[in-house]
Amino acid sequence: MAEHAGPGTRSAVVDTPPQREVDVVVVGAGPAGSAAALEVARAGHSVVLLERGPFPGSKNVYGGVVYGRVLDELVPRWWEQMPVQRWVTRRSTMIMTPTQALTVDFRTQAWGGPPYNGATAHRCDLDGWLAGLATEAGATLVPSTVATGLLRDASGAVVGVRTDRPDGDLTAKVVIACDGVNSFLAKEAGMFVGKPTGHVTLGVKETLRLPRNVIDERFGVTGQHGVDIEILGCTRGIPGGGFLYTNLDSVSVGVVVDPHGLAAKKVRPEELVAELKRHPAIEPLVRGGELLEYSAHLIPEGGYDTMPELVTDGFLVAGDAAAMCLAAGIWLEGVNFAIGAGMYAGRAAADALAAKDTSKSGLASYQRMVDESFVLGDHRKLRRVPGLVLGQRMQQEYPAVLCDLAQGLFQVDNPRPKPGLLKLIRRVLKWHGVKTRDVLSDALTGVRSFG
Amino acid sequence: MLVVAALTWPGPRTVVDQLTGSTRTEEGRPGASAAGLAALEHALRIGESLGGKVVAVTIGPSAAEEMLREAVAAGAGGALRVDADPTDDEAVARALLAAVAERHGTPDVVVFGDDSGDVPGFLAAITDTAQALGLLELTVEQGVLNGLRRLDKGRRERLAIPMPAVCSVEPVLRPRRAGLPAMLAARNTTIPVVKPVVPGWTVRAGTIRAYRPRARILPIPAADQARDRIVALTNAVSAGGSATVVTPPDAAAAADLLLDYLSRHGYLGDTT
Amino acid sequence: MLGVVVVRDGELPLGADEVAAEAGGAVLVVGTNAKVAADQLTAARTVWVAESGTVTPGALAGALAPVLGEVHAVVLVAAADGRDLAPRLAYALGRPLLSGANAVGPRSADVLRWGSQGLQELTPNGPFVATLQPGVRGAATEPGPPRIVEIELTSVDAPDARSLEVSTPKAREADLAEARRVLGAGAGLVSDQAQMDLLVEVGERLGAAAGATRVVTDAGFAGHERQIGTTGVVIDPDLYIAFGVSGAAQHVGGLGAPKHVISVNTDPCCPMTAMADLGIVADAPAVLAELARRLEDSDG
Ligand SMILES: Cc1cc2nc3c(=O)[nH]c(=O)nc-3n(C[C@H](O)[C@H](O)[C@H](O)COP(=O)(O)OP(=O)(O)OC[C@H]3O[C@@H](n4cnc5c(N)ncnc54)[C@H](O)[C@@H]3O)c2cc1C
Ligand SMILES: Cc1cc2nc3c(=O)[nH]c(=O)nc-3n(C[C@H](O)[C@H](O)[C@H](O)COP(=O)(O)OP(=O)(O)OC[C@H]3O[C@@H](n4cnc5c(N)ncnc54)[C@H](O)[C@@H]3O)c2cc1C
Ligand SMILES: Nc1ncnc2c1ncn2[C@@H]1O[C@H](COP(=O)(O)O)[C@@H](O)[C@H]1O
Repeated sequence: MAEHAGPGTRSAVVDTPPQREVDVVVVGAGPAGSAAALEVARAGHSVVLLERGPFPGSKNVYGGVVYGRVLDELVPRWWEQMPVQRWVTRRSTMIMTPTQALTVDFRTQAWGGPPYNGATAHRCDLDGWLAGLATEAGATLVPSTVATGLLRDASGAVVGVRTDRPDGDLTAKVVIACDGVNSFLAKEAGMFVGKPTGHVTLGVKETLRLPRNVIDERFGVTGQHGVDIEILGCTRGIPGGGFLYTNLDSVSVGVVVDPHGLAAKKVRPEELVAELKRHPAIEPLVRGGELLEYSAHLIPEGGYDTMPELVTDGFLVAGDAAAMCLAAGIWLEGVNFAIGAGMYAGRAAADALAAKDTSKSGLASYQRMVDESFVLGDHRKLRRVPGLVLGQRMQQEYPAVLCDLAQGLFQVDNPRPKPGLLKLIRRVLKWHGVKTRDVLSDALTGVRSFG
Repeated sequence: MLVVAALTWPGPRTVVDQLTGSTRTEEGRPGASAAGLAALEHALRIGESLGGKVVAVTIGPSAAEEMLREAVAAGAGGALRVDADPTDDEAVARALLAAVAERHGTPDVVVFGDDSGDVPGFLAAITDTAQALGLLELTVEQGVLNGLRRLDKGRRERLAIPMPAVCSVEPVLRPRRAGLPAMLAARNTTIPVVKPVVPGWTVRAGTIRAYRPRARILPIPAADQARDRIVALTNAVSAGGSATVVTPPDAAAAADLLLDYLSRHGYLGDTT
Repeated sequence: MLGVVVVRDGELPLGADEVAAEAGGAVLVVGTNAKVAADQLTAARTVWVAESGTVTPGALAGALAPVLGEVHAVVLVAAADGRDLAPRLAYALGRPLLSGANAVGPRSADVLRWGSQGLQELTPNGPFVATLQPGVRGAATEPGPPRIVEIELTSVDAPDARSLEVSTPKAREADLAEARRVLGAGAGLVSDQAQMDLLVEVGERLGAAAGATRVVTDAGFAGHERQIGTTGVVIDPDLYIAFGVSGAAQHVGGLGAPKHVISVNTDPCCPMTAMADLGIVADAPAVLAELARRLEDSDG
């Protein structure tokens, strides 16, 4: 497949430069890139952060939930400065059929105060803040500039990047690719060779304006508290899930779906969002919202098994570029992994520079740091989850099973006696043609992954 | 020779809700407008052909320095941020002039984007220089500025513009792309800030309301009877009535409505 | 109140009668061949005519300031020459300028703000100069001919730009100006060349000329000679169909008084839809594609 072509297709081979212009070039000022640049700059090395958009966050899909725990290690008391819309104190998982919805709703006031858990934030604010931290620490941010290829020396080691500007070659001792999903720099460096083709899923989102007090009332929150609802069963059986987040005076609603499923069913993603907005459980929450923005973006979702090599001579990959995103139905986490990976990549580069060895082995501490941290820890643990959550049963059968079960339990059918629970379960499973054996096996995968 | 590119800082965008008249502001894209970029490119070209120094200047907050750094990367020899909050366009012109004079002296050519309101006109008035505004072309021919501007009714006027001059240009030119070394160098330049004190006019400003078109006065139709004149004016008999706003379910229904309207008013069938 | 109208070669600018009407019929006509132009005014009661060798703003401001000192509110047209002169005149008279007004009164003006989305009343505490957007009010014809008073101005030297040549629109552009039916393309329709081309095609089938807003012409999807508005071509068709046009004052000011206006726009409250006889809230590119298909079907 052309996407996974070997190294060097677009690389320019240059003579080993006697002196590199900068210590580190970071490509992409998303969360991963800014975290990487911040760590390199803090260690006192020169670093250039290239961003193709006119400012950080301009090219990124905005609005979502960011889990800040990873920031503890990067920015002390980050919650006092991060541009947050609302702190998530209520997290719901909603399972729905076209006419039913079953919600597991969790609320804790603990997440509404330091050290906090998740927050909704606009991507342009968040990315701008992180990039600002990097530039304050000494990184040089260069916007409106696209990295178009790698510079390599005769031995194949990466020695810089080529950009689309006049006189656009920039030599460096280390290049950190944080260029997001479908990273062509990682492909060009040959990091995907021998890896299974990574799946991508499509995230589409609408931001709808609603007055702040209306959001407070509809979602049952006050102050800067907010809600994160993850939804299964709203994608017409196409592998994926939906979400609804509260910002300060807008809500984000959208779906994350398999593009092949969309194509096979000839459904357009915005139809799914429109349908979700019309669902009886969602419509009262978003009613009257004025459309502010519609956006769509690819998300890597293959998980651990599809991740590329992370280190080669003079080159590191972090964040979505390394498929470090967890996008599986009720999970949608990428920013935290990106920040973590970027931070470790930056540290590894700094360590390698200090030790004057930026070869693959000199940079190998990156692999070790991500391996030992949550970044790969979570991904390893959850490696089967995409298959489970996006599998046919979870997508097409369980939502209806669960909703019918709840309906069977709560429906009052007097004068007929209430059915016993087990009997009800068997009846509902039979209705939907689901085998008990499969349910047990899926339950087991779930327990292994989360237990 | 001093050539000044005066860029408008876009600032937040204000949106007026046309139903309620309530207003809100949205953070705009932090960068120069298309007209501002065209002004910069023209200034650079004028500086090149006349052998002058080009300075980019704006009135704006520190966030505007980004835009000025890009101007420096593109080739401006200097940049200036004016920290002032002028109340009217005459005060804007004074503030710009005071700031440039303090740092660089008297400008020979000032180029604005045509999104600069009446600032260029006031600047020309204050400095008693030639003005050429709303230009589609601005070139240097044998050391003389030459411009093409729009008049009304589709007419164009070609101008010879003596210097010193104040010009404004439409967004007709894309700016050049700065080289990477220049970009990198510009990142570390500090942009000088000038804080001129400029008094402005005291004008009482009402709250901003939603735009409502005025009733238009139409010429009186030629008819003997008052009734016929009224009928002719209001289209009361022939037309389907007053204005309607409809939201059709899809494009096909919209096309139906449109074609139906055209056919009811006799626009279909003959295309002469 | 006094309207001031700058004329070139005996030709009135856009909006001259509206300025005269706004100022209660009192208007000063200044420029080259001013008398000829003054005779074409229909909404004036008293016209002061001042012949001037030049219409350049520096010289005009210098020559006019001494005779306008007593006038509390001076109103100019917000079209090329009026807009040029306004700040220079305000400066020479030492008063504030209220520009781009939707309405001007004796003590205040209602100015358009933020791309014609909003209106704001501005009240200076003394005399002022204002510019009135052409096309916002129309003007009734005065029953009798105006009283004409010829006055002399003392000419003043000013370092103005020199006019080398004024060109009138070419025949192809004139066909837009003269068209009885016009389709207008706005930013909501045109995001690439194909949509503009399709509009021209649909226009041909409807016997209509295609024009555009400045956003579209600036983006290069239509030539500058296709721009409709106060700084572009001024049209006066029977039918105007606007696709994705917001209805900014500079655009609407060049529309004349069409009998029938249709606006296709996703925003039901934008000024263009507000002034339309039929407002269709829909996606303009989709509607245009659908129209193209229908008109092709009916042809074939
Ligand atoms: C609809 C949607 C909802 C999401 N919701 C959430 C959520 O709620 N919580 C969460 O944690 N995650 C969420 N994610 C995932 C999250 O957005 C990503 O995982 C995260 O942004 C990855 O960060 P990154 O820095 O690796 O890459 P990105 O944020 O994609 O940044 C890459 C940057 O590199 C730049 N770039 C790319 N190529 C080049 C080049 N050649 N030269 C120069 N610059 C380049 C890009 O412009 C961009 O700024 C969501 C994603 C989508 C699509
Ligand atoms: C000195 C000066 C002179 C000017 N002279 C002129 C002039 O002569 N002529 C002129 O036209 N302009 C002129 N302008 C520019 C003018 O102010 C406006 O910026 C311009 O007319 C706006 O054009 P627009 O309606 O295409 O774009 P916008 O104002 O951006 O409006 C786009 C419209 O499309 C709608 N829309 C968006 N998406 C869709 C969709 N999918 N389907 C349907 N509708 C959609 C939006 O709701 C909006 O109403 C001048 C400006 C200045 C400063
Ligand atoms: N160089 C400049 N720096 C900052 N503001 C400016 C500059 N030039 C013009 N402006 C402002 O930009 C405004 C343009 O407003 P508008 O025409 O309403 O879009 C003017 O009225 C000025 O107040």
